Amino acid sequence: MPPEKPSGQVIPTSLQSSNSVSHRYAYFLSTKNLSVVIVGVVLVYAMYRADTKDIPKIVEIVFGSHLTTALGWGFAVMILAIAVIFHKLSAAIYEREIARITKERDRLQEMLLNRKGEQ
Amino acid sequence: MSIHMTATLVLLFAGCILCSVSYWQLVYPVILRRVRFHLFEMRDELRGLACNGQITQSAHYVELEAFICKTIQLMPGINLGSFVWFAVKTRKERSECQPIKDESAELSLIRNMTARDALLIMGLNSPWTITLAGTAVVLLSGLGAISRLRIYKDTEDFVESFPLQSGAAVQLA
Repeated sequence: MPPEKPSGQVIPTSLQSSNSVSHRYAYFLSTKNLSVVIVGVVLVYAMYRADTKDIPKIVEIVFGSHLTTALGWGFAVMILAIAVIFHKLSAAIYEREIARITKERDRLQEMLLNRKGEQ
Repeated sequence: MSIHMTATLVLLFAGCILCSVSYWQLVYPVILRRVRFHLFEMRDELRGLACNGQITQSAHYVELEAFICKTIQLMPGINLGSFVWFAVKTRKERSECQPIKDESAELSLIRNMTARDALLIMGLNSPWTITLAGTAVVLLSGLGAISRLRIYKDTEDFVESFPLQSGAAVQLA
């Protein structure tokens, strides 16, 4: 079927690429690491305002309590579980895509062979 | 500020860093890949329809193909805030444009699904904005102030506003 080509219209000559590029539009509007930045700024302010003699006490509270240890282990287990789940998910996504591409390739090869057979 | 408060802030800061790293290094790439593969699938479907002669290679087809390619290519680097900014800033001038009349239901479906995926990618890029914007959209949709198709059209216009990064184009005589 001949393609319909309207006069004066920009039409790509070949199949278009899909390479991902980092093209940031209005990057200042990003909230990518907003929580880290906000908490970090408040923390820096708190540390600046704190007495120098209180710093060892803060360090002791943070690193010497059982709550911190429990939270740390909790986070570690949670991140490990998320990593395993998402690794499995990623593998499944790739498998599905490979299966789809294989099917598509077979279909196109079959089409090409049929066309050659007709000639 | 008390020392206990400062100690809590230290823990909170560490927690935020861990959550941020987990999201951007574990969750985000996998979901993004899934959405990109879905876009590849839709583009293949579109090209397949054109190859089989089920749709004509009209201006609509070329436009839709470019829309999918731009979504795959550019959306991973664009945040939702940029889209909201664009939609609000250019709403008036775009409202004068005629809505797209697709030649087939298949094209319309692919177009809507691409717009949905583009929105999803922008949402993934802006986890905090999507929380706020999602709430606002649900409220406004409930009030009937915005429609899903309107948002899809805005998304398409936003993606179309970017130049194509690669792929040769010629001016036909």
